[in-house]
Amino acid sequence: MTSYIDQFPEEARLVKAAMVSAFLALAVGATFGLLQVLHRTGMVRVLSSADYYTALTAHGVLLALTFTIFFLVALFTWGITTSLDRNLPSMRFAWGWYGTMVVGALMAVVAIFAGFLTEPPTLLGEELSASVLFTFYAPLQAHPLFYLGLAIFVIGTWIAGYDWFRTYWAWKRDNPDERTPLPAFMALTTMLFWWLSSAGVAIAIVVFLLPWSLGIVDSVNPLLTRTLFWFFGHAVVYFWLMPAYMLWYILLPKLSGGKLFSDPLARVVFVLFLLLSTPTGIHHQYMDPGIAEGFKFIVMVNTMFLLLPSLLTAFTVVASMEHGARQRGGTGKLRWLGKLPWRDPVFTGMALSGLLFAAAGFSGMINAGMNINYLVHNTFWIVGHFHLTVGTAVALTFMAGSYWFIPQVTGKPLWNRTAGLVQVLLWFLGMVFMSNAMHRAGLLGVPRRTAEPQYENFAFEGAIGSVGELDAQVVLGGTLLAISTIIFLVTIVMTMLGDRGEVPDNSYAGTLSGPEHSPAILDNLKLWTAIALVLIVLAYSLPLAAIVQRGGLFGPGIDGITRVLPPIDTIGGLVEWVVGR
Amino acid sequence: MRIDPALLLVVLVLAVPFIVELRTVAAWVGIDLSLLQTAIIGVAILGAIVVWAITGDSNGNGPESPS
Repeated sequence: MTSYIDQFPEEARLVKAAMVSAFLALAVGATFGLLQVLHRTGMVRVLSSADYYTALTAHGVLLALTFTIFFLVALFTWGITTSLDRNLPSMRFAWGWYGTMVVGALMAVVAIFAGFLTEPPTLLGEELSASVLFTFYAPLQAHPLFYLGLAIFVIGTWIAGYDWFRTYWAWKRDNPDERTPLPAFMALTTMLFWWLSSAGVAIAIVVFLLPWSLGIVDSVNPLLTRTLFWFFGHAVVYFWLMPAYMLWYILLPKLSGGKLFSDPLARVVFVLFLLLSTPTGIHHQYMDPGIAEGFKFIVMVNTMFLLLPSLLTAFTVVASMEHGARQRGGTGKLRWLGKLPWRDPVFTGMALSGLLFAAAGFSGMINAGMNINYLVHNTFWIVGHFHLTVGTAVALTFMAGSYWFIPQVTGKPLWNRTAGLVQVLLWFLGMVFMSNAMHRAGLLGVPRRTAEPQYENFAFEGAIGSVGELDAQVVLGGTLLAISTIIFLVTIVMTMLGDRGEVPDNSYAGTLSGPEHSPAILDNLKLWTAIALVLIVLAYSLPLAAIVQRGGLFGPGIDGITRVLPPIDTIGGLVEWVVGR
Repeated sequence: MRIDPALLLVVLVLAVPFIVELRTVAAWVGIDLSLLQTAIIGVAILGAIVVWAITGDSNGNGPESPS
């Protein structure tokens, strides 16, 4: 038996550090989740309603960005090194991008947490505060430290991506005729669309929000910053989700006792996500009046196309699991399900998260449809939806995966498999209760992003049962999720404190239909990136041009740019002087 | 035991969404269930699953084989 720490001891330390960072973010972020559930429903109010929005920002940023992205950089580092059987070129460089991410995350978190203070400290002439929610576009304004922290965090991920690519390029030079191993292919395609999509939010932060918060410009065009946010805001969903898909493709078949049904289908899926992840963001803006309906329709079509790779994944992963169960002696049309390793929390957690992701796909189709979206837009339905996607498909897969990865990076066996199994089952149960009630409340029109959904002189009426019963269901679900998080953290800590022992081999699933059956063009990343760029230009160029034409870069009449122009004039004068000589 | 105890737990957990939505389905056919009635029916369904699982033979598709 050879674990990851035996094969790659240096990289294992980095992977462990990134995962521990993710778990710390999970611990704090999940605590705020429970507080919000109790506050919104009026059961227990620890926070003031003003502080609710600070807690909501911390919950969103810590879980949706910090927990997920720290975990996925760990996972991709494992995937690249294991599948290419090659060390990262420089561990100092690798610790550099990890450190960059930590510094960025801390800066953003400090800015958010200062919002809880009655008298926040002043920095750069501004009170430290960032209660701008995870969707941090204008008109809400945060302290510059928040934007700067997020920008540095994203830059850290970009450098990580470069590290994986240069590892791949070195491998390719040594193995020019080899097909790219599947885990590496998945990590690289995901990184490519992350570079493309996160450029949107980087521009929003560096060019608009940061100068605005520093007082360099007086105003911004809110619709422009919203559109640039969603340019990244939907693709980031796939940045979280692709690592979960990776685990479903390469670990679930192995744990089931079989092989991946089709390597070529898996590659097609990741290419489709590279192509379609970014030119879909405007579907978050169906209610925005400043974008023409025709562009929204194009984006709706792109979004509907994204159902295809998810359906391909469902087919391929379930087929692989069935193959594994039949290898274990399973028979019948459904009786083979009994032969799957349900005692294993890694398997059960990932299988259940896949199941709830199917439910998320159905509610996602409703969100993606232009007309029916109007019914649920900005309601509690949306919160129910993304707690099934990032809160279950991603988070539960990552937690279940941790029960496999932590032994790999520490050489220590899992502390208690039963505790792990109970934890993943509780998460499933809690999320079913909570997200079901959120969806149903959304259909009644109960709004999201508010500490006070119970308006005066108005009461939402439950279609079946009462709103109070839905609130109780949300609290029940949230409480089960909090208990599940505690069991998870205890299991991880106890595993890390344990003694070294026998752990599973560091390997991933073989394939029934391997890369030799897939056309070589699938590995042509330059081609797919070029097509992805064309699709982005088609989806975004005219809407962005229209938004700027109507509302200006920095607000109507470009008044806000007045403080930017003098330095530009200075540079222009300098250029003229140089050219004149 | 008809199925593995771990699988029994999974089946019980999977039954919960159906129990939660039981009220909606019942309302479609004109039956308004209270929260208490739904909870009692839910417990009865979960109990029936447990009885089914612990009685009878697995016929070779029960407890998982060691991997």
